[in-house]
Amino acid sequence: MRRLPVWLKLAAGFTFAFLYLPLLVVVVYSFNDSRLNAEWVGFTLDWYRALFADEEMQLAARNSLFIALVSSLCATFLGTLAGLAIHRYNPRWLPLLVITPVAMPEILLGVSLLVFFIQVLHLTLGLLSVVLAHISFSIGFVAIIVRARLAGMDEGIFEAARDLGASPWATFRLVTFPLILPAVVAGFLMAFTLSIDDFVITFFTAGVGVSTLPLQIYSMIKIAVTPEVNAVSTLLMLLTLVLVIAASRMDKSFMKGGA
Amino acid sequence: MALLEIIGITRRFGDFEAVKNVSFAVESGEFFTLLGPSGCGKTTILRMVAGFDLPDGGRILLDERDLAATPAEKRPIHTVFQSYALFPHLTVGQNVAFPLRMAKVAEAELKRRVGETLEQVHLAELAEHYPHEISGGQKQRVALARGLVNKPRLLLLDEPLGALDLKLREEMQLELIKLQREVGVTFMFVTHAQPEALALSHRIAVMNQGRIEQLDVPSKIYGFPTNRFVADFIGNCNLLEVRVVERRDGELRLEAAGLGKVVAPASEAVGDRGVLALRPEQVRIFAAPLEGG
Repeated sequence: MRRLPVWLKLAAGFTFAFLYLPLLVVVVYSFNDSRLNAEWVGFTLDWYRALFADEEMQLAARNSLFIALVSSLCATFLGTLAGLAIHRYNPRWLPLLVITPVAMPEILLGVSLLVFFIQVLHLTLGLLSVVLAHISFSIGFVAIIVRARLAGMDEGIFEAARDLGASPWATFRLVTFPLILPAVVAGFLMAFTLSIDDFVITFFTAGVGVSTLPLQIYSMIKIAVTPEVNAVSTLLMLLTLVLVIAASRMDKSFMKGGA
Repeated sequence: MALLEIIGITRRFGDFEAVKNVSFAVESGEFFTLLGPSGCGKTTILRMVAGFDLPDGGRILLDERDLAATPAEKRPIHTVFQSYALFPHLTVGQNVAFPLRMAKVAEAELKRRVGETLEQVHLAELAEHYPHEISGGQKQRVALARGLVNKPRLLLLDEPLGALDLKLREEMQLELIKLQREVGVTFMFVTHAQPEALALSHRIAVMNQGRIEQLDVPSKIYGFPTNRFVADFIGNCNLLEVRVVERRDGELRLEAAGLGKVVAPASEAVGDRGVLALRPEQVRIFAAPLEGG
């Protein structure tokens, strides 16, 4: 490999520092034995203990996990179907229709979902409305990932399956599904990550009764950025990191077999 | 009775007529080849026989039964694809076992037949490998084994040697012939490579622009092309504009521009104009003029 010039290395270093230093600060201060985010006093796990004793926080975490799990499962199912349909029938309008919510400003999506839930569906805002909202913005991501996987595959193998005696359902079960499974799992992990991290859309669709981790963090920092906020942010960050790494592993490890 | 009968099939894609009222029959046990340049309609015919596409007109009969209402998966016809189309998530053994599983063959019988077929294509030791771990030539053999394992009535081969290098290609040609004699399955082969068609086939249908130009055994296709296209497409050949000047004892004397007189066995009348196809290996050059011209 060619050696990189020093200035390029420096530029890369600064960029990564800019990206990751703020996160690192949060992580470091979550272990700081002081009420203030001002100076390093000493190492402690007190803020994590406080976190696990905080019942509101517990409830928010449970809500977040429940919403993420249910919405990402539904979005994975629907998004996979959408990805398959786009690939198979390739109508010009379908990709646009599925992918638009992905590109839509979140605030717009939040407001319009709020209006839709209240004025059209007459729904009481709560867990259900948040789950529906999260499904709606996750479908597109799953569809894009599944479709990309399908686009990289030899169309001949689906014809070969039929040719060798497999019914359309057997072809899906024995050939199509095993081949897109890595993309389906990656899509699920992506949808889960998006759901558990979402603030804007959740803020509009949760109503007063339901809180999630991001909403809880927001309500806490309205007073001050406490070390407890740092601790919960660190945990959320860790979870996100694990999910993103898992998702990228998923869709690549099987790629060799896709050719 | 012919195994496969194609009766006046036509296929249109929009304004383009890919197959124009084509009829032919393939006999049981035959190695039959559709030969022609790309876009001549040969692959379209293959796809209609396989069941991936339906003709706009005409009928396709297998063992005297019309296939129109039979979907691809119910036809006792298998295909070897140009891209091989092996299932990337299954091992070589599992790939070959696939048609047997679909036919619900019992496990013991399935194992025996997969082993036997892999043996025939010399791949027994690769059964546990995945397609991405084997070479192009080996993939080709797996595709063949997978197509043959369930003893189809007819095996369709779509340019199966197209992706191989020349040396491997020649090896595989010999093996294809051997394999076909061994298993006794009827082959319908599609190719644009005329040496391959001449070397492998019992009979060849030469196609051009959606029509069959000539259907005959390879020696006749090569030696007695019925029209200019076939003469030009098959082998190296000089095409000369000629005029018949004399007819004697079933032989013609032709006048070809710049060549003088040529003797040819044909039945045209004096004064007719035509094209003389002259193969380079048929030309002898002598120091002195032959007796009588």
